[in-house]
Amino acid sequence: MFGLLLCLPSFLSVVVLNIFPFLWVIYIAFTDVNLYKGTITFTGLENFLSVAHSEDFLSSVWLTVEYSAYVVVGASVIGLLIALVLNNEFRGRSVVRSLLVIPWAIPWIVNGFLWSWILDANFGLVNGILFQVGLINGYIVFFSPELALPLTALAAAWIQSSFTGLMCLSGLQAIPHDMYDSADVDGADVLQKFRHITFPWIRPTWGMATLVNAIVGLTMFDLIFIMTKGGPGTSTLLLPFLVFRQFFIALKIGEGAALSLMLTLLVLSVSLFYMILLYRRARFYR
Amino acid sequence: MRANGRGRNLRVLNYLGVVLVCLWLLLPFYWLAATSFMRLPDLASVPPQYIPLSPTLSNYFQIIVGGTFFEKGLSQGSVEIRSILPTLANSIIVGLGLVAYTLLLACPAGYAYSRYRFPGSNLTFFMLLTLRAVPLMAMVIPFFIIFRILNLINTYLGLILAQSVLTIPFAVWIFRDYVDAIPRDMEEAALIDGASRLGAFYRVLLPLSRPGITAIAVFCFITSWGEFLFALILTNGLTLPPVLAGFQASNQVAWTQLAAASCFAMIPPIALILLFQKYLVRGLAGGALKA
Repeated sequence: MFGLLLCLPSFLSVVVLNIFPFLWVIYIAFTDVNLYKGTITFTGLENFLSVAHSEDFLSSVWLTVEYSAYVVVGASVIGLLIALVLNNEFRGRSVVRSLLVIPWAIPWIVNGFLWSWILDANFGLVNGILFQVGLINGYIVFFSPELALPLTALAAAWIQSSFTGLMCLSGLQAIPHDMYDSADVDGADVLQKFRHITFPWIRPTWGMATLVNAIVGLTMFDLIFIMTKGGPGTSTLLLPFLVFRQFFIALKIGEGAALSLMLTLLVLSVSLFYMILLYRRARFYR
Repeated sequence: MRANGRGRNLRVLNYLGVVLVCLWLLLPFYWLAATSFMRLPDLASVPPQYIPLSPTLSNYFQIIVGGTFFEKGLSQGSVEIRSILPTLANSIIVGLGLVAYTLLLACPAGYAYSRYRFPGSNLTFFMLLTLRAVPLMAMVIPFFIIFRILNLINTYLGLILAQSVLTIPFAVWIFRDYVDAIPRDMEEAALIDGASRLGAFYRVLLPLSRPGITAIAVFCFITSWGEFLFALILTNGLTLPPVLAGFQASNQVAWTQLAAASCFAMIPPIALILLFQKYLVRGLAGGALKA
């Protein structure tokens, strides 16, 4: 009972601030809200139907999944490579490891500015370098309909690679050294050691980091808001930004709520699917 | 000893990797910092000034003092900038408020989940963690409507309450892990010596779990400092992120000033992270916090 008492304040806070609003959003999704008149009328499935029939919705779901895949591939692969490199002995290792934390610490929107500048069409660093080297004849627009999505994903992958690297590095440091010693005795080469010792060992950590990367991709709003505002056209109109647009710009409250529920469903099902996958594999290998 | 050719190759390869990692991590920062010391015409020069040729502190001066500034290279000729200092103060107030609110609520709960079994303890703990999987975009809608009714829009309290959604589940989880690692004997000894259960928690456990508390506090502050969506929608540019976004949205983008402001915005989280690094890496396992 004492335990219950200690939990009560935080639980009340969570009920009031998480559960109640979430139930409210479910309710709103089935209604038509008029902010000016202050009326809420029940409309059943209407919001969901109009969302499902709208052109932007399906393409947006697909773009969101695609974006998330880019982030996962970029962040999880680069992050793992970073961790492998930094796990070896070299001079100044502790300094470089401290550097690894830094991208993770900066605000997302600053990250958005950072990459907007680097890739800017008028004064961007990348354009400048390519022009000077002679690879291009004039500055090019990187945020084009074809490239905007992978490039906004690059910005996300930059931060998440730092996060993945940190997690994997702490996983790598827990590997007992005598495992490698006995592999040396057996004459294993670097790749074999990676395949049979290193990777199986850090796979759970890496897997969790990958899940986080996927969720970051599925729910990304800040970078899109700063870098492209969903454009050009609808080429980076991800689901969270679509919710924002419907709710706060078009003021279609009910539709926004219905969309946000679908986003929630998408995130939950990806997480669930992934957890099952991870759990099964882990059991299989142990 | 015979020189091992392949070993040396590997070492060279690894150094190459380290250089690449450093470039990947630092180059974007470098360009941001360099931009913040440039004037607008320098920024547009071809080839780019990899090192600012005539570095200036005027961007920093302008965002601190605020006012209308005339500058070459701007199509409209002048740019209006509000001083960033009040916003910095607001960001600090909200950040500290969130730290206090989270610690006050999450520490007792984390302790209880570690030490006691009570009806619903597993269920509520599980619920706490799954709730965090609900995207912020879904949470901000009800907050917006409810806060309008309760007049909490654009208040410190409103923003702190909203942001606590991000921190409390995580903090409870982390704190439970820290308490799990502290042996029960210490509290039991205190109980035998006549301390109350609350006293044992307060006098014995809290001091022992200081690293965990530090980690949670730093996480909360950094989360609040960088949190954009709630601050954008539930306030009228109260904290730094929406104000920075506003810089960019204004008709004449003051790029170099924005770079200086961005550098300002990066300093506190980076300083905190580097200062408290050893406490944090373990807490990162809870990871989704910043997402």
